[in-house]
Amino acid sequence: MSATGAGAAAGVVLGLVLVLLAQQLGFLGLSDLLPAIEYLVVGAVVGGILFALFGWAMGRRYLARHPPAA
Amino acid sequence: MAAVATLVLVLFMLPAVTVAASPSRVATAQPASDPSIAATVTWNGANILNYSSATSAARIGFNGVVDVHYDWHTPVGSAGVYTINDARLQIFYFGFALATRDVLDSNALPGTSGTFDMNWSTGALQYILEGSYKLIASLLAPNGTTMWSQTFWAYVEAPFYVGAVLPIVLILIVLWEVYNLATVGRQAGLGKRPPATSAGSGPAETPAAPSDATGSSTSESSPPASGGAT
Repeated sequence: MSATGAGAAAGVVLGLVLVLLAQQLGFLGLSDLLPAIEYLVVGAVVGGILFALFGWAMGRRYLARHPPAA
Repeated sequence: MAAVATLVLVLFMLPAVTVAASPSRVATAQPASDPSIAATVTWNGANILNYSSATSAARIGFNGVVDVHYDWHTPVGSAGVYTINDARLQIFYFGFALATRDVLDSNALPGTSGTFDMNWSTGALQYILEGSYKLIASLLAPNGTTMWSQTFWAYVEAPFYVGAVLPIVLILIVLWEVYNLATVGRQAGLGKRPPATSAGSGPAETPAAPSDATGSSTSESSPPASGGAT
């Protein structure tokens, strides 16, 4: 899996988990179904996009520092 | 990664499974269909209207028990009499009623006022969940009609703020994913490096052996041929 894909996958999980965690810590209400699903979808999409970019940058950075042998 | 995603889905579905396994009824509380009665519900003595949003939620601690008092009456000037035999409190998560608690009066008679007392706690849910939850207090007629209802919010506190199963598991997942993100570049880099190194060393050795073998066989065979001719 590429660094971008790995970052996106981790970002989706993080987006979902952080929404659930925000509710558990009292910052968010998930008692009604529709806004709860919206929060989860937005969290997954935003997390996936942000951390895909992060993973892409991390992959580039690592390969710049450790170039593969010719 | 797939295992973590599966775990998140399982946790997401946990409250729904809990609801399905419990005998509690599906949420039926609706805005009062009959505005002819008025009611006041207190949560440990405070009117639940004070807790009308998640930010102003009532707090209930671990193993805490709340005295919920229902007091209903017909408005002044109203001549109607009503029979209210059920005071209900429901807690909601993702639109599902996690728990439903009823106080029933089996000998309810038609009247113009009445009271119900309920000692409510989160029960076993407190070991799994914490956080802000919407609750609906309602008063029902014997035929099941919701005569009055009111929505309010409560915050279920766990020890040390995270001392329930779900937040602990969620925090562990966050730590695991952050670790994965921190090493994502190295993992991807290592995934690309082995083909470059193995392609340089592997094929170089493999053709060398046949070429040596072929060369030695020809060099061994030709001298005796030439020597034999001389």
